Amino acid sequence: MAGIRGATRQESVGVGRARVGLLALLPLIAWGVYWEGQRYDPGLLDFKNAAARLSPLVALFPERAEGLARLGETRRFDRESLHEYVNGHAEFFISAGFKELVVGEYGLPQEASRPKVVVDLYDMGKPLFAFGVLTGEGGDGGPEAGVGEMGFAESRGLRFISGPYYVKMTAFDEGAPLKAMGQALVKAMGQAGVAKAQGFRFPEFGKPLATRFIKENYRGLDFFDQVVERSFQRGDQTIQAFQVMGSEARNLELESKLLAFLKGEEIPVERLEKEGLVLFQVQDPYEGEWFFLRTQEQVIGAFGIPLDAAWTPLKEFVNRGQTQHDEPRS
Amino acid sequence: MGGLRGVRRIYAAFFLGLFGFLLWAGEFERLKGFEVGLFLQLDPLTALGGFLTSHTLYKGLALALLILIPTLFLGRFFCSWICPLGIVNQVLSHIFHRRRAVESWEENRYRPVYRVKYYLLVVLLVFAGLGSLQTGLLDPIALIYRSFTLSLLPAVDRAGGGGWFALPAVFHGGVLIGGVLLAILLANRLITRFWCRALCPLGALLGWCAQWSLWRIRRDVDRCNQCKQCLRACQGAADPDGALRHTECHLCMNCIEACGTQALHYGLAGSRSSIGRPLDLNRRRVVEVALAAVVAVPMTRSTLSPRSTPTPEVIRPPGSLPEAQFLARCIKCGLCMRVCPTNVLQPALLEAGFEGLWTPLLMNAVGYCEHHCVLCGQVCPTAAIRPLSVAEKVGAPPFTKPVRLGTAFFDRGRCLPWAMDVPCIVCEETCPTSPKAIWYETVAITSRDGRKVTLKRPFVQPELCIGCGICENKCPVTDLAAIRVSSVGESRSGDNRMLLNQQSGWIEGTIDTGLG
Repeated sequence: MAGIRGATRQESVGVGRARVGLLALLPLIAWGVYWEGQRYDPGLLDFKNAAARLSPLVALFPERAEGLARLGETRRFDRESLHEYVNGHAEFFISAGFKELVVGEYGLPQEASRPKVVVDLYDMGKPLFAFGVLTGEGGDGGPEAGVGEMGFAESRGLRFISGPYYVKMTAFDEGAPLKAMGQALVKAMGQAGVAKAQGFRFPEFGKPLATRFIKENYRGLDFFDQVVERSFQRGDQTIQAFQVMGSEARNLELESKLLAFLKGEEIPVERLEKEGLVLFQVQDPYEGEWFFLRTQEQVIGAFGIPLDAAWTPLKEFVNRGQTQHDEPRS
Repeated sequence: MGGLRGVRRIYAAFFLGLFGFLLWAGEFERLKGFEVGLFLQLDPLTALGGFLTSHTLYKGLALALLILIPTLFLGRFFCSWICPLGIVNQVLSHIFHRRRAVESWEENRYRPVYRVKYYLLVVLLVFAGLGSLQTGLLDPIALIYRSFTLSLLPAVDRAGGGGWFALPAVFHGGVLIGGVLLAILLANRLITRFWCRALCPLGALLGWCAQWSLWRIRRDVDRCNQCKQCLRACQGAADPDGALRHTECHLCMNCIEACGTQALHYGLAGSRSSIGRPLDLNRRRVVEVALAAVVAVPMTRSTLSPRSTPTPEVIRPPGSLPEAQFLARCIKCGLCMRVCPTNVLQPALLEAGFEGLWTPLLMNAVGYCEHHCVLCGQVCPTAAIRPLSVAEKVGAPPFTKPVRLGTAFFDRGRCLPWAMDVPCIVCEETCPTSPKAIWYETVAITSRDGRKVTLKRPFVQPELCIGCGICENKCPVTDLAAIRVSSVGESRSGDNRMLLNQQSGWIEGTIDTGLG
């Protein structure tokens, strides 16, 4: 019968075909392995969530800007991965409302490993939150950046806000075109930057020193959130004024909670009516004398200034109305 | 081409190369969609063992029929044509072979000790029938995958032949695993393909199937001059010059090529073909061995193990089945550990009991479970680790809860802000959940030297913790972290939970494995 060795001629032909058939299987197997290998979900291998991959912020980073080319792909970080980029500082951003960070590096194409400018674009969700991190990161000191709605220039950097975005640009060379690149970025934001940062006006209690945003727990009070605080110099005194912008209902609720808290702590509060305005003057054993009042659009108050001294600028402020916004820094 | 032996050699080179390629592709940066567990899916012992323990045949394991069915007709071709360990053994035997003809005859004769593999197969199948899947310990495919992944490749990386792992990989007890393989390979120096002839349970299974094969090596008794050249070349101790034990024959085809009188052929029986020997097995011994295995199974379970009592350090990969089901499916192949990007998956020694030897555990001192990674479940050939989507793992819609591996606990005696008044919030920052499972309370204290220090003292919110272990891994207290994950609260178990949680009602209730 059939045998591989010593077979008849006809059988040998059959065996030869079997060998060819066996060998022909191997390329088919190899092709099958390769074909299967190309069918996969790339999302399973990059360990990032889909939202981060589809970020529209990536489109804001041009391929070229002011003679510099973008080096490689932009990097994206979300709340879970922000610590990989700003280790030790992530909580500052997250507690201030952080949504997403996109980082792009720019430099000369022939020196791809040496970026000249690094652009960090933080989406903080709201203009107020962007303002908060701008002032919180380095105060509102330094020369004006002239970019976006508010910003500051530093020795080798630029920080500014535009709408809900906080942008931080760092240069590694003298003379890097930070301002021009920043303006290009703001222009690229287009519609995204239309939502203007809220302007913050305060009564003119003195010379403004600094402004900052406190997202929650202002002065340790768990109901006192999203506060803008500005400090003023008046003679040798420092005055700290605060305001919360919100709907009438929210302002009313804050006023009620504040009064309830003061009552609970047995801190004397006097209700005053003066030229049509209702104010609350607080004799605080810890903070000294301070006051606050509620308008339709805000709750505003100040520490470190007697009501008598504060009255004139306060009255002017209320009369001017809340529709007229001035620059955050005067 | 050189006859069927030439084709066999080409097949051997191809499948050994394919095995090497799939090992190389198993690293997560190269993984793509490659079926890195292909050899395990082709392995009939894996399929049979898993079927006996779980009463299901998990998707790719049906490929084992491509081996099993042809074996019934063609004989035990897998061992010399496809099996990577068999091929390596054959190559090494050839290299080691420096014997005179008469020594080769003696060495290649069939010996009763070669029955041991059948007894081992019986033990393993009885274990599987009683729900304890131990086939992976001796299955040659699982064994060679495990040995390469957990011992040989890390050793090659360390010796400067890098590129097998993205990061330098280390594995718990890898030297023991590598030592087993080394012993198997060195045994070829003493007896040709000793492992395949005497110990391989997969070879036994295929040999048992091959006893009915129609196509096999046949000897024409008229042409045979008893020169024993065939015996000298035989790889399987099949006695081609005499009894022709086709259950032992690996179909290496060496005997046909060695025969000077063309007395041997592979095919159907001729009128002058010799009669082959049936399977050499003592039924009484088989019954004895089976009974011994029946006794041994409860013995292996009588020790402290996660099957009986939740064990804090036995933290299984995301998607792992409840412990009993997990052990009924895991074949200890090490594929999950190969693909893990952080090296957190490590082979257990006795942490998970005897049954859990070399099964995967998370050791957070080495790595952590990457939040958006589900690769271990994607490559597991038996679904001991269920394939999860990223959304299911992290609890993104439409899923309502993330997969929890355990819960982190602070050791306040070692935590820098708690015990040493040193500011540190590394654990809070690295926590990947949203909202974070680790939160802190800001406190102002006066230090011993009178300084005012503001500290953020961390806490764990257990219902938010997923037990990924990144906090433990990144904790600056490096030798024994100040925050450590234990298995309590793991999603896969309905029992391993804190009493407080059971009362508060966030227990997840029935575990749905999704496997039917």
